[in-house]
Amino acid sequence: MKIYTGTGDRGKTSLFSGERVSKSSPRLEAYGDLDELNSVIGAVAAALDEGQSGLKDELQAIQALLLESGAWLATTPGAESTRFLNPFTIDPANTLEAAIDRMNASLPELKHFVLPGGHLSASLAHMARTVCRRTERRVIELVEYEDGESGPTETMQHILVFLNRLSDYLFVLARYCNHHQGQGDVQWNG
Amino acid sequence: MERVGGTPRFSARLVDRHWLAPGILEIRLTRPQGVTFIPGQFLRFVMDGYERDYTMVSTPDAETIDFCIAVVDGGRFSSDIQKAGIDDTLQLTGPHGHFVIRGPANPAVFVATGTGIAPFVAFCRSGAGAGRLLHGVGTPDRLIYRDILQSAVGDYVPCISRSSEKITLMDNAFAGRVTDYLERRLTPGVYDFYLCGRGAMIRDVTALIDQRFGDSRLFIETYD
Repeated sequence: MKIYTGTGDRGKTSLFSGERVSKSSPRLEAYGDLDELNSVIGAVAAALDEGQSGLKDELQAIQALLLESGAWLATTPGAESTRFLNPFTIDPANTLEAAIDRMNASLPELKHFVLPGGHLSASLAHMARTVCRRTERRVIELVEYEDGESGPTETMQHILVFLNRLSDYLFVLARYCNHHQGQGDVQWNG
Repeated sequence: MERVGGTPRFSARLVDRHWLAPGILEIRLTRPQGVTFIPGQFLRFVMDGYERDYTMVSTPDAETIDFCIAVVDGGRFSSDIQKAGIDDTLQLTGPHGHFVIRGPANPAVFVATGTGIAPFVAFCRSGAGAGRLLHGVGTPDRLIYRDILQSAVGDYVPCISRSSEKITLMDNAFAGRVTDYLERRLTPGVYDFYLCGRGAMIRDVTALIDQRFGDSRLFIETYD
């Protein structure tokens, strides 16, 4: 399969639902950020050590969910093409909450602000967290731009909840990685 | 039928192989029970050390799964599929892909070059051929599945780019490339374009769509 098609050379691209849109449209901005988030999570997984294979599998499952979210973002709401997409329910957000609780149970109580940093895996998890927050803002912008006062569709609402929990998950993951490496939190002494 | 990473994997027997046109083979495989697809999707042949994707020209309920294959000099699959014996078993995964009819928002314009006609043959055989179909070929002898397409499509237009023959004798034929037809003959408007063919055609037609048929929808299947 050739990687380049040349069909986007004039600043437009095709949505999954077929519409030609500008590459600077809010929809493209949103799923572009989602793509960036997925890449940074890939870097987090790559920085884990061999004893963290369960966590690596969990991150790859999250990456698959981000691809599915991306397919929804690349499709005009209500388009007939949505029938080819996997339903995106509230379940992934619930799974993240369980994972947050699981990691938190092994961490000391947070009594201070932490600086993003420490071990490479933790630093990348913090980077992923900030990209996730930006992605969430972009998706909110898209929903406000396209749906106005009617609010997000149920699927888009599920994706927003998922992104919100994912940034919390990535914060806890960063702490978990530093503690796993015996470094503890990087405290802010401000 | 087992699953590989969520995709069904199965084996099927080669039951027929014949030439459709110079350099274009049609092969037929048994359709194992439970194997189904949406017209326009493709299957992946898992060969010894490599894989190749081909779109079915048959319908999901047919007894056999049929493909048209452009034979390439020195091509691995071209060579292997010609050497394969009738009744040999082939390994496949799928179905894959989303190049399927997406609901009639606008009048459909199907554009194919060469064996890129495959998904449109499946559309037509399954009764989804309402629209205009441009089939770009170099010479008229490459107009495979012409009878099926002519009877199933609302407006079937062979676009013949290199022929010195008098194609005026052929109903609806256009002398030139599919891009020439879209530029000169297709009334400006909003359409659902479905393109299948080599990258150069896809790129050129997409540029034309952006220039002349704004607000149209575009669905692409490319191969090189």
